[in-house]
Parts: sequence; C-alpha cells; structure tokens
Amino acid sequence: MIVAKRKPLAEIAANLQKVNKLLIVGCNTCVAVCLAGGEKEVAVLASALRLALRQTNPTIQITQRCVERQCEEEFNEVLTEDVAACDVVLSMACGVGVQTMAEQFPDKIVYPALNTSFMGRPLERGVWSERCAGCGNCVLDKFGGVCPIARCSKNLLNGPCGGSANGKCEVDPENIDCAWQLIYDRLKRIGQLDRLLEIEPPKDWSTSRHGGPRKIVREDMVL
Amino acid sequence: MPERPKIVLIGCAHSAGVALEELKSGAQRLPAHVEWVSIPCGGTLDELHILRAFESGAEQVMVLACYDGACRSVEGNKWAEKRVSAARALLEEAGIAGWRLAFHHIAPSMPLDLLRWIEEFREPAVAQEQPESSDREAKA
Amino acid sequence: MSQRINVDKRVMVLGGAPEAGLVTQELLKLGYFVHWITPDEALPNVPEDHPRLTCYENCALIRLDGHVGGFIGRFRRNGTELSLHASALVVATGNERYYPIERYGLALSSNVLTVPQVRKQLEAPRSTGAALPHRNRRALLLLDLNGETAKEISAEAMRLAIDLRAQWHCEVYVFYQNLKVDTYNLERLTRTMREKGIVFCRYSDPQITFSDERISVSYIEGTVSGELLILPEAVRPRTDTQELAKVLRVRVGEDGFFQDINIHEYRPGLSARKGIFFAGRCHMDGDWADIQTDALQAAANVDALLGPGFLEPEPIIAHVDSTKCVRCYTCVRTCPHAAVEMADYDEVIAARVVDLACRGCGACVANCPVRAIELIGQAMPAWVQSP
Repeated sequence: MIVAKRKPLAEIAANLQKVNKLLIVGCNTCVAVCLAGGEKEVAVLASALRLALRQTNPTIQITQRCVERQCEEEFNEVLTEDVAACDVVLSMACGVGVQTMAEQFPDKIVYPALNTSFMGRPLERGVWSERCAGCGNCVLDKFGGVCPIARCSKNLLNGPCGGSANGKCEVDPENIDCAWQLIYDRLKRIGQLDRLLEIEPPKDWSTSRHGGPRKIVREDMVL
Repeated sequence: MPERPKIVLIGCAHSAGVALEELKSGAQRLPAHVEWVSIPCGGTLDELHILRAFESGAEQVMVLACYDGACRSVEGNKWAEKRVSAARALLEEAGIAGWRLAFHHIAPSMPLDLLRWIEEFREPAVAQEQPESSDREAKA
Repeated sequence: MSQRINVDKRVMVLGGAPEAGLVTQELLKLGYFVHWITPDEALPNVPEDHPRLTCYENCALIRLDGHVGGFIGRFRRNGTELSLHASALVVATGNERYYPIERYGLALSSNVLTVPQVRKQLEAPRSTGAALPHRNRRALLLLDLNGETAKEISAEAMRLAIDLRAQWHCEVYVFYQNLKVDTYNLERLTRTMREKGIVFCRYSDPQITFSDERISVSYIEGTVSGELLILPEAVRPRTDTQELAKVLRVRVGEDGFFQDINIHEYRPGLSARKGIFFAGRCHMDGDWADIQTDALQAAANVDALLGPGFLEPEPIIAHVDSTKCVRCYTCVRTCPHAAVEMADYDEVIAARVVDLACRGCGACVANCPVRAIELIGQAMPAWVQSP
C-alpha cells in the first residue's frame, strides 16, 4: 500500500498562521493503515495545531473530518458543505488524495499534512518497508519475487555490485539488505538459479515516471 | 501564596489508583490544583488525552503506570511510556516545553512518592553561566 | 452488559513431564475431564482406566483455535489429524537436561563425570568381589561453573554428595559460587551434608588443572586435589518451546522458557492468555517440592476459573465497531492477550474482540487508527472529546 508519514508540525503550521477556518480531512484507506492519516491522527493533529497556534492564531476554528478514500470524488462529496465553509483544507491523505481534493474543489486552498513516500508492506506493527517503485514493467518473475528496482539502491538488473557485504548494502549496511543477495537466495530456494545466467538488457524507463505522467485506460470499461 | 499550576494526573488504576486510595485512607488528599484521571491500564493512554489536557487548561501533565514486569497486561506500561514520548515530541514542536509532561513508574505502595513527585513537578533549574564569559572579561 | 457463558469442565494437559502427571491427577480428583497429550512417545505414571481421562502419545499440537471456555486444539498423531476441545489448557512440557560442554570447557572422561553418570555407577548392581570404582576416593563436586545451577540439579548433586560419603566413603568437597538454598529441601540437604563432613569451598575464579590421575580445583582460600571431578548437568528449554508458544500464542521470556518476567504471571503460573496456564519446569526453576506445589497451583488455577461452571467477561472490555474497522490488523497485533481476531460479521470481515478473553487494557483502543474500538465501562473526562 501507499506509505506516508506526517510532516513536522512546524512545517504544517507555517501555512496556517493567518487561516481562520481550517478543515482537516483524513483518509481511511492507505494512510489509516500506515497510521499516518486516519481519524485518530486527524484528531491528534487538530489538537497539536491548536496548541501550536495558540499564540499566533488563537481564534482558528478547526473542523475534523475523515472519508473512506480521498482519491474517489464520490466519497468526498459528503464534504461539500464543510469545504465551502472553510478557508483552507488540510488533507491528511496521500499525495493522490490531496490532489483529488484540489481538483474536486478547485477554488479552495488545499495543503498536504503528510509526506507520501513509497509503496510498501508492513514488516511488523509500526514498521513499513518499500517494495514497489511503480516502474510500469514488472519483472518480478525473473528475480524470484524480489524487485531489483525498488530494493536495490542502484536499481541494478545484473547485480550484485562490489558493495554487497554480509547480505547488506553499502549505502546503509544497518538498514538496507542487499537486494541481490535476497534475489540469489530466493532463486536458489525455488530452483530457478539458472535465470541469473540470462543477461538483463538496460531498462526501458519510459514505462516509469521518467517517461512522463502516466495514464492507464481499460478500453472495455469506457463506453 | 502563588497560584499553583493546574496539573492533570493520568494514572493506571492498578498502580496509581491504588496508591491514591492509600493516600485517602491516610486522610490525605491530592492538592486542589491536581485533577485525577483514572485509566484501567497504561495501555489505554492515547496521545490525544495528553494534548487535550493541555488544550483544556492543564499547564502540566503527569502520567503514571506500573513498573516493567508489574503490568497485568504485560506491556501496558510500555505503551504509556511510548505515547508520552510521542506526545512530548509533538508538544515541543507546538512550543510547549517537554518538562511539562512527566512520566513515572509507580507501584501501589508508593503514595508518598506520588505526593513528592507532584510537589517537585516544576521547571528544572536554569543552567549556570558559562565560565568562558569570566575568562573573556579577565582578558579584556 | 455481563453475559454468562456456561463452560464444561474439560481440560487439556499438554506435556509429558512428571509434573504433567501431578496436574492431571489433581484435576481428576477435582472432577474434571482431562485430555493428557504429549508429542513424546510415552506419558509417565498414567493412572489406569480412569473414566474421565484420555491419553494421547506421539501427538503434536499444530493449531489452537478458540479462546478460554472453548479451545479447539488440532493435533497430528502418526500422520492423522484429530481435534480436541477443552475449556482450559495447562502446559507442563518440562525442560531438557544437557551437559553444557561449551559453558564448562571440560570434556567428560573416566574421572570427569556428570552427576547422573556417577549416580548410575553408584546404583549399578554390585558384582561379587568387584571393587566399586570410586570407593574411598576424594570427590570434587563443582557447582555453578559459568552460571547458576538450577535448583533441581543442585538437589540431585547434593543427594549424590551425601550418598558418596555414606556408600563409597569418599571425601567430598563441594565447590560453589552462589549456591541458593532457598527451599526447605535444599536447606535440609545442606545441613545433612555439613553433618556428614562434606566440605564447602567458595570460589570466584576457579582454576581446574589435571596432572596424572589427579584433578586440582582452586577456590578462594586455597586448592584441593582429588581423583574424581563431578559436574552437574544444566537445564534449558525444550527445543519445541518456541514453536509451541507460537501455536498457543503465548509469550516466551528472554531465557527461552515460557512467560515474561511478570509478577502477575510467574508465581501463579499464568500466561497472558486467559485459560492457558503453566506448570512446572517449562516456566520456572525449582526443586521437586517447588514443582509439586506449582503443579497443584496450576490445578487450583483451573478450578478457580472453571469451578463455577460459567465464565463472565471482565467489567471493562473493548468493543470494535465493525462498520468503522479498516482491517489494518493493528489491534490484532497489539493485543497482549490474543483477545482480538479478524472475524466474519455476516460477510463483512472486521476485527472482533473476544469478550471472555479481553482484559480491558485499552491498548487496541489507543492504537486503532480509525478509532473503531472503545472501552466499554470506562469513562473519560468530558474535555477529552475534541471540540
């Protein structure tokens, strides 16, 4: 899922010094699950902001709301009156939700409260790790289910590099596993080590962000 | 007599709550400026409780939970400690000094310690002036 | 909102340690139906033909569903699977003994022996005319080497020392570092040893040297040499402890035995899960008297729980609003009592608190990212609500 983390309070508050009526909108999908922007975090942020602004903007009125999924306009419809009544919307959704709100209510100022980081999975309660970079051309079949784009610091397709030591990456040996060690171990385990004998050509990045903003269309769903 | 700052005491019923009962049975009371909030376990504590306490007029908040190895739910006291740290970080970002939020481990047999912690709950003493300044003066 | 659930008096005893037998006997005396199960090949001292006892050997627990009042254990025995139901579980799997050669740094030989080895020699039938191997020799019994000696092991070593004096007329020296004799049994044994003229020597950094047939041990006040060096075994958790803990969803302490270091769990043999109890050496160190008491305690725990014939939830428990739950599993992962599970609410999957297993700690309530859980029976001041 999408994993995000709340911005430092000072950064959020900086944009709100002159705001009279603030609407904080959380999202109950990805950011709730990664404990960054669900209903609870909305309440915590509202309280923290009132405390942070108690001297510079003591009369700020904060309304707290949360929608099922902020990237769907239908879910955001319920907010129409609240949005109209406020001066600024502070979105606690991922970057997609923030932009959906901005596009859906184009005359309103919409600010982000989170830094959206990556697509990843929980390793244990409270810890999330990056797994997918959205490169648009999935080759997980070739690497035993371990992604060299998202998990190798150098995005190597024919690794490892000389910086791999004890299964760790030289970029941050404490925190980053060497993806190619993982790939090797996994391919060995599933009996597909011979895949490593195939040389992978340079990646065509045009399917990734590098090719520009992307769109996917299911022609059979569009009349 | 200077007005005492409003303190909110949030404590686990099994440790702090019992210590409080000990106080009362000894015909003592919490001072008037202290509001007592009982939670069934340290695990119940939410950062929001702490933030809302400050918003609602508390100037200082003290959280009390069991010692390690004494929690009925094994790690409720650890949760309380974690949430106090998280709340303290937010409070500092909001411009509220971290010392205003205190955390103590407590056992049911410690009513007098409880009273003492409340009594001593104030801003830590300001550091002494740097010795270099007197050197500079001497050189000048 | 208190609901009584009737429960039947059926208990599973898991494990084949001697204390499991004590627990079983006590529970049968108290009128319970007992399933006594072990993954090992045999159970010790099974009472014959008891109408309320069923025994299962070679039977391994692979999955435990349900909660207090209604546990369902799925077992594998000789390739087939079977299910057993019980209202409570007592785990009495015991521990393992081993000779800690890495810890001691001493290889066994003809004159460096373990306590059980010497005991075996002592009790071997005497062949006519053959001299006993260590008769009249000086025996050096070395306890606490590189760590404390477990109490059951101390007791065995002490009994051996006394018997060596009595039967083989050995001079016996006991070397120790921090010998705890904090039970009646151990104290009595120590007194007997002193009465019999066994010498106690305290060491802090012992030097053990071998020359010819003699072994020398230095202690704080000097050195003693003898012909026989006796070392106690050590105890460790059974190798299947971690796996069993995962299946039971109970915790293992840092030392690898069941239970955290927690005053509410340790002495009474409780786990963090209601209805799952521990007895004996799988969770504690003690000599046989301690273990017996602990086994009786476990049976008493079960009886305190199931004796009334019904169970009630605690006065403060958590409750999930299934319409708000986003199935993030945070509460399931948070609960120390394994009282929250993902459940089927008529085609909606959401977290559910098992009322009877909840202890009302509120950790799930505080952690829920969408505030779908509340503590029923707990009032907070009005100012906690956001304006």
